[in-house]
Amino acid sequence: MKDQIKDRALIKQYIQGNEACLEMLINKHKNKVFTTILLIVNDQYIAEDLFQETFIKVIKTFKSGKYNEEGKFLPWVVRIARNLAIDHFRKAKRMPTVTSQDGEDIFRTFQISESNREESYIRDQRDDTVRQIINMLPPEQKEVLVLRHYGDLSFKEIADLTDVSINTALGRMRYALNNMRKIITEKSISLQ
Amino acid sequence: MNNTSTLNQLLQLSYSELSKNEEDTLLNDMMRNEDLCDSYAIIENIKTVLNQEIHSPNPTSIKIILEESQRSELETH
Repeated sequence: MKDQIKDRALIKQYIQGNEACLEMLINKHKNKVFTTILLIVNDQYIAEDLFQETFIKVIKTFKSGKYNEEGKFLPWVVRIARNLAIDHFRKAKRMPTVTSQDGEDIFRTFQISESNREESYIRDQRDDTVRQIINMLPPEQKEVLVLRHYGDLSFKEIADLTDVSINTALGRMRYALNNMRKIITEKSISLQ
Repeated sequence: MNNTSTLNQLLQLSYSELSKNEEDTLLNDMMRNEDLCDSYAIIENIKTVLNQEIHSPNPTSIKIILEESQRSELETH
């Protein structure tokens, strides 16, 4: 509750012209918002773009006076990010891909050959085990887990957003946690 | 109360979504039931694992957003 009041105060100050409050607000929530986006799109570069788009939309809403103070800030931002990610996938589906003779997406190949070996090594290192386990979950379980754990949406908010009952949302979370536990045990993954 | 709804409540407890009354009732149940405590510990353990997966955006992304904010500030004045 205290946290929400703090967010509300920062937003009010920002709308009144204090730019530093926006930076404070972003720094406070950036990791949760970015992790949520990254886990949805699974691509660092797309996640950076969507992160920027999300906060630019937030700014526009603040400046247009359309922000509803009653809601919680972080879940609201995460809902915007999720919608932008869905739009991104819709557009990507419509976009024709240029493939090489061996069937590889030419732009993807171009991107990889552009980055040097050191960069790709660092990227591989970052591609950590927890994300791999999350990505092994069925999409509907992964969605609830990401929105609840990283996006701070309540189970009721997730149920409303995904058009299911709260019991279904809770059930998906239970299965997600059980499946994660099974994967960790089966593969004897050490996560310390 | 069936097992599924108790497990659902444990999840809600873990994410601080229960009312004070619901929380007290469940905590009382947990004191009498070791299995419930074990289930709650499993949830908390997986949450600890999930907490390892935190990423930060590139500082350039934040710079772009702040510049965009300042630009729109200038446009409105």
